[in-house]
Amino acid sequence: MAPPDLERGFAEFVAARSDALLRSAWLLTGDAGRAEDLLQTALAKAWRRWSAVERADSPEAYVRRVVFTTYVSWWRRRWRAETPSGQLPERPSQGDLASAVAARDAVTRALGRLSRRARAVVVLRYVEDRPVAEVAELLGSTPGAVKVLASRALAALRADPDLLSLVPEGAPA
Amino acid sequence: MTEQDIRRIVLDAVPPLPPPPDRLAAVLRRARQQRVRRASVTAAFAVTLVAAASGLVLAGPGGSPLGVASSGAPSAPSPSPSALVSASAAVSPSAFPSPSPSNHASPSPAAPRTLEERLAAAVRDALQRAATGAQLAGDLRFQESFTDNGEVGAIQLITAAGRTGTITVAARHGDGKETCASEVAAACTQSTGPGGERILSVPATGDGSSDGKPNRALVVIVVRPAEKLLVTVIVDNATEITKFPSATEYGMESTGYTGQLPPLTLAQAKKIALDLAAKVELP
Repeated sequence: MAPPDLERGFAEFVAARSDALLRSAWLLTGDAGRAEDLLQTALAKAWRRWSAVERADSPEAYVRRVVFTTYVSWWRRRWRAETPSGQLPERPSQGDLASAVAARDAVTRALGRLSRRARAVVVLRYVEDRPVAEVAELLGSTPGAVKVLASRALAALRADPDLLSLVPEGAPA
Repeated sequence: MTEQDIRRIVLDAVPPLPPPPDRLAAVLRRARQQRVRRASVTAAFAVTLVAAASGLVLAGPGGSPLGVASSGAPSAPSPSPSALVSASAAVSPSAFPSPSPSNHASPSPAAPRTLEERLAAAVRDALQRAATGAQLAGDLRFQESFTDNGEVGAIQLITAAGRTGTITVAARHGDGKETCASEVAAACTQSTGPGGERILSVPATGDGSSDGKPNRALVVIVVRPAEKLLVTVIVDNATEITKFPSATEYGMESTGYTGQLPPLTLAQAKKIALDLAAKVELP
């Protein structure tokens, strides 16, 4: 039985930071159910060491790292979940809701075409705006490797037809 | 398209993500389940040591010793299950007490003691039989992340036939009914092993890549239906593994795919998986 203070601190962390972590998990997985699964997996791992994690400079950095490393390693344990798709992407349709759904699908497809590590780098570097060194530390890589991966991922996203369709006409490609 | 455009587009795409009714309870439940699985693995480790102290040889088919053979050792009383769990919870494998020199024969220093050590020894043995000359880069790195799935699993770099890649081995309990149809939708081949094992194999292309060189992998799952045991062997062409300070901390392949075939053939991976499935005894 964990001490009440420990559990209270963990509960506060879960309540305060889960939404932000869940957004990252969704960007990685592209699916709400799998994002929640990833988040809970990471939180459960963190809870096992919470007494130490809580004392660290940034408990969120620890949990975030677990989210990303778990995500990158998941393909091994759940390799059968890799389902290559030959489906052609649908184009955005009219209407606010339909457009939002189409845009979401377009982003999911574009991110899905990146490797897991590249997707993780994109989310950390360009969405969460984290420095290269921190991304490298989070992913157990080197700053040089992260820069190369980020640059290639960015080039791939810039050329991605699904994402290009979301840029307003007249905007520089 | 600027970095800011990409950031905006990506962030705008995140849908509303309503939380589950009680996320905290779900997380704590998961953590408890993981703890129970860990305790059961450690308890089985204690059983193995008691068996070893009793002079038993835990051997798989073919007579390969999996436990500690200690032929001159006197019998030890079997502890109650609660005593096993209690004792195992208190000590790490490396800190497990040795038999007293005055009453027990000392086990061979090379004899594998823990579940991980037995699996590692079995992997090296199977590897030598299936691929003579194949070399692991070092000791297998057991991954804590496998335990979430109730698995025991490890990873290491391997060189064979002039190619370098990564081998991952894992063992877990399943329902014994796993087939290609239930495990993978396409490209899976199912066959039967010499001991009635069900062999599922699939060449896979992972979604990681570097320098445009694809990640190619061979995945073999051997199912022992009666024991409800699954052994998975994955061989791919990734030549780097992340290096974290702790061997139990999320070791995984990283960059450095060669684009070439994995260092082992499908036949060799099957042979290794069959060999391990014949020997592995999970709690």
